[in-house]
Amino acid sequence: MVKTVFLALRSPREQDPSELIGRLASREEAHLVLVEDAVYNALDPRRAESLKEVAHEVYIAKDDLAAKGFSEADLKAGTTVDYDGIVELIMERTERTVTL
Amino acid sequence: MAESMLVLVTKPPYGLEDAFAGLRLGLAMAVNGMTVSVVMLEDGVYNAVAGQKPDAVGMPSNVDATTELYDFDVSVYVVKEDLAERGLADATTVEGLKSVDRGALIEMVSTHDVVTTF
Amino acid sequence: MTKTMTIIWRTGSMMAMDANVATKLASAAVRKGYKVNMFGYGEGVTAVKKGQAPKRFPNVGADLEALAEQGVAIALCETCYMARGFRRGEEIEGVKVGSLTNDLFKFVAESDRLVTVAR
Repeated sequence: MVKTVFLALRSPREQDPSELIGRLASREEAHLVLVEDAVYNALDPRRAESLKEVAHEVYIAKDDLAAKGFSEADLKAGTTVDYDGIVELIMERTERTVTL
Repeated sequence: MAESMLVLVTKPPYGLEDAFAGLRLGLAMAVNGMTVSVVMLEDGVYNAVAGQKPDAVGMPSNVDATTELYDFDVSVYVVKEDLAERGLADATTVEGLKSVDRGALIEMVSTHDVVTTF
Repeated sequence: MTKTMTIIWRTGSMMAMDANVATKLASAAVRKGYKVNMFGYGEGVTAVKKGQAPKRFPNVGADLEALAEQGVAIALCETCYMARGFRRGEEIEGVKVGSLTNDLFKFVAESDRLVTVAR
């Protein structure tokens, strides 16, 4: 099995990222990056819980979060990441990238 | 250096371009000798239903786009549970499709060098 | 050996920020020393039109042009491009109007990672 980074772009009501992640990777090997409207997933306590159950690392795009009026302190899951961090995750820390 | 690709088709036929585009992308990789597998999952399983009549809406056929893949040894899978969840457990599916359990997907991600989603 | 990332983007220039995500990712990857290829597919091809002039929004065409200048190989699906009424020569500098079979295949075959930006 391989370390996989999942990329989610859609809002929580459009898509629940946890469903597909749980089917495509084990928790230990699943990393999730939330960008654009998907960042709202990390602000919702219930959704945040389900994401933590399927992915052992959750990252939220720093600029998207700021644009929407929130900051690191508002997160119910994960930590913020910049684009350098996302590239590092894709190129060095995982072997597959799957867009949800 | 990627030698194999997994194409995930998650969108239904004809309302969106995605599923057709994914099948064509898979074909383009396979004609060049890349090992390609396609999985129809989530709403993508609607592409697996036999008897589609895309002419009715003037769209190119996702069934033809699927079966053309067979000439280049592309395996096309449909996820059994996703069909069942949509009330299609007993539906007739497009000839040549391989039925697969959800549980097989993790292995498929790891046995292909790259993955793309439609 | 330098690792290679290929980005397929399939969303158009303005309606969603996806193409901007693709260019930001490419830009960070270049900055970190990776080789980057980008392929525009489906509605994504609209992002390469020359002369985009958004008054207040990010100019994705200009961002792509800057990436091409930095050595990012950018190609797009000609069938998708023609289907939307574009003609060769209407694209920004440094972009190849190409095909899945030739260009995307070569991009993917030489890649260590493939990233899809679409919704």
